[in-house]
Amino acid sequence: MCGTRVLRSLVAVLAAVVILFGYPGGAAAQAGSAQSADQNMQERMRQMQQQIDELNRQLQQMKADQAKTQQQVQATQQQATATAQQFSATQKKVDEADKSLNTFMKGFFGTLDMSIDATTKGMQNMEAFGISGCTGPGGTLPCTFNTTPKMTPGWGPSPYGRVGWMGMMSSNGSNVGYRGTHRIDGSTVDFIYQVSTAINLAAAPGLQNTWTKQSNTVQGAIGLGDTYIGFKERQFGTLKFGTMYMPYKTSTDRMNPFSGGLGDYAVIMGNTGGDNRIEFGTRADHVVVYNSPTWQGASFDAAYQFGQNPDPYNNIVSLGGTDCYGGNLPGSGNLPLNCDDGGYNYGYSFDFKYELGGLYLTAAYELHGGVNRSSDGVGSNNPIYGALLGPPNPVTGCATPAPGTNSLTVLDWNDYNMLCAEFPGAAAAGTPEYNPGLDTVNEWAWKGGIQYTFDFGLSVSYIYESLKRNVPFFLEYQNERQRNGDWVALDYVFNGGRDRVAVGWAHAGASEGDPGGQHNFNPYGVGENTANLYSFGFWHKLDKQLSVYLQAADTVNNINAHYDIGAGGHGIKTDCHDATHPTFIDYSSAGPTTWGGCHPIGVSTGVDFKF
Amino acid sequence: MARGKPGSSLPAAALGVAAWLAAPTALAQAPASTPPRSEPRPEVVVTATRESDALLESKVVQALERDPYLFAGHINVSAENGIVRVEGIVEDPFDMVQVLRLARRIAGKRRVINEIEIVSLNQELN
Repeated sequence: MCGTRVLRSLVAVLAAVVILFGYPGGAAAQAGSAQSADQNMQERMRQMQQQIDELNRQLQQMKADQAKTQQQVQATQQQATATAQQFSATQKKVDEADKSLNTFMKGFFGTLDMSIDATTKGMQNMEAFGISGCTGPGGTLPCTFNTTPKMTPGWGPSPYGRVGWMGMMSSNGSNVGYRGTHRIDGSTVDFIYQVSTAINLAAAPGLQNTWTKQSNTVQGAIGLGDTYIGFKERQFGTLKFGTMYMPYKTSTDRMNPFSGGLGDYAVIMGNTGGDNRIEFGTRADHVVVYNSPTWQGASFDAAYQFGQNPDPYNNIVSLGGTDCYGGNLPGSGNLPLNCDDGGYNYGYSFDFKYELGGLYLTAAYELHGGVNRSSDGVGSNNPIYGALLGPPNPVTGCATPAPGTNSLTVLDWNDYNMLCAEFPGAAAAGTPEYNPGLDTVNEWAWKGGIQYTFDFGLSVSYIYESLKRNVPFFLEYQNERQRNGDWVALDYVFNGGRDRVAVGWAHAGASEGDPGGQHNFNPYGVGENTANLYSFGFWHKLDKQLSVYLQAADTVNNINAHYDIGAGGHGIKTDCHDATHPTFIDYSSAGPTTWGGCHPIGVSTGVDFKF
Repeated sequence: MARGKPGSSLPAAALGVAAWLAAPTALAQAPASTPPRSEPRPEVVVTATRESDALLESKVVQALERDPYLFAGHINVSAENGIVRVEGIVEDPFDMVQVLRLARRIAGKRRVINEIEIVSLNQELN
C-alpha cells in the first residue's frame, strides 16, 4: 500500500512538470531555438511518458502482487479457520474421550480393608457333658453324666487345640467391583450391570477346603459379590438378575454400623443356629430382585430365588451353583458331602421402607423353601435323639433303631445302613440322620426396624426379628432355628464428620429346641441357649477415603448357645469350635466340637480405604 | 298424518346436506378460534424451575465435594421441582447418613429422595 502511494505521487509530480514545461511562454518567441527546444521538449516528454508507462506497469504489477498477497492472506485465514475448527473438533473429541474415561473410571468401586485382630474363643476351661443315659419318658430327664467325653476316647474332655487368645490378620470385606449403565436407544430405560469380586488381601485366593468344610466357591474370583445385569427406569424401578443379597438383608444394612467387623449384628441377627453362618442374610444365587421407585418416601423391594434343585429334599447343590444354598458348605463338620445342613430350594424376600427426614422405618420378610437339616441328627448329643437308638449291632458295631419308639419313622435308617455297609467303622462312630422327608421344611423370618438420625449426628436404631422353622411337633425338641432377636445401636458422628463412635447390643432369644449335634449339649440347660452380643467401635477418618478403626466385640453365650464374633463380613470368625479333627474324613460328624456356653471376645484394629 | 309438499322437500334436503358438509369445516375451524392448549406460558415457569433445580443440584454436589471426610465418588445428585434425588452406592452406612444429612440441610428435611445402595460386604471371605 505504501509503495502505491509513492508511485501515485511521483506520477502527479511528473505530470505537473510536463504541464509546466509545456506551457507556451515568452521565450518561445525566439525562433532560432524554438525548434530545438521543441524537439528537446518532445524528447523529454517521450522519456517521461515512458517513465509514466513504466510506473503504470509497476503500479499494475504491484496491484497484481497485492491482490495475490490478499488472496494468500485469505487462503491463510481460511486455512487458519479450518485448522481452528479442526482443533476445536479434536478438542471436543478429547473432551468427550476424557468424559468417557472419567465415566469409565468412575464405574470402579471397592474397599480395601485389613485388620489385625486379637481374639479368644473363651472356652479354655470348659468340660464336655458326657451323658450315659436319660431315663425319663421319651429319653428326657433325668439323665446321668459320666466322665467320658463326647469325643473319641483318648481325647480330653476339654476343648482341643489353641482356643485362647490368638493374633491374626484378616481381609474383612475387601472387594472390587465395576458397575455402569447403558441407555437403550430411543427409550428412557437404562441397561445396568455390576460385577464384583472379593479380594483376599491377607492370603492367596482359592478354595476353602479344610477338615471342616469342602467349599467349591473360589475366594477372590469375579462374581463373589453382588453381580447382576438388569434394567432401570426412573418411573418403574429397577429389575436385576444375578447373585445378590436379598431385601431382607439390605433393608437394615444401614442399621449395622459394625458391618464387616467383629461386632457385626449378623453374629445374632438372621443367624438361626449360631456359629458363622447367617441363614437370613447370605448372598443368594439365581435371584431376581426388583427395587421400586420411591413415592413420598415409601418404597419396596422384592426378590425371588430360583430353586433349580432336582432333589426332592434339596440335598444336592442346585443346578448351576457351586455350593448349597443357605451357606451350607458340603461336608462341613465332617458331615456327608450333601446339602443336609441348611441347603434349600427356592426362596423369596421382600421389604417395605419408609423414610421421612431423619426417620427410617422398615419391615422385611424372607422364606426359604424346603430347608434340609436332616444332618442335625448325626452325632447328636440330645438324649431324646439318643432314645431313638437301640443297642449297637454286635457284629458291625453300627447303631440300630430302638424298639418301641418311632425311630424308624424319624431317622433315615436306609442311608445309614448303606453307609454302615460301606464304612462300618465310620458308621459306628456316627449315627443316622433325621428322615429328610420330615426334616426338610420351610424356614422364614420377618423383622421390623426403626432408625432415627438426629441433626447433631446421633443415629439410634432398633430391630426386632422373629425366625421360624416349620418342623413336625415330634422334632421340635431339636429345632434351634426358631427364636426371636433384638438389635439396638447408637452411632454418633462428631468432630465435623471425622470421627465416629458406635455401640451395639444384640440379643438372641431362646430357641424351641436344640439338636445337640456337634456341641456339648447339656440336657439340664434346655432353653438356656440365649446369647448377648456387645459391640463397640471407633472410626477416625484421615481423609475422604482412608480411615482407621478400633473395634471390640464380646458374645456372652448361655449354657447351650454357641454364637461367635465376626460373622457377617469380618474376615476371620472366632467361633465356639475347637480344633478337633479326625485323621480321615469319614462323615461321622467327628469334626470340630462346638462348645456351647463359650465366650468369644475380640479386639480388632485396621485400615480401610474406599475408592 | 301430515305429509309435506313434494316441492318443499328438496330445499330441506339440500339444506341438510349443506349443513352436514359444512359441519366438519365448522368443527375444524372451531378450535382455531380458541387459544391452543400448549401455550408457551409454562415455558417461563419451567425455565425458572430448571434454573432453580440446577442451582439446588449444584449446591448439593458442592456440599458433598467440600466435606473433607465424606467419600461420595459414586453418588449422583439430581433435582426436579425442588426435590433432590441422591442415588448410587456407598460402602459404608455412615457415608449414606452423611450424604443425606448434607442434602437435607440444603434442600430441606422432607425434600430428599434416598435411593442410595449400601454395597454389602462379602461374608464368605477370610
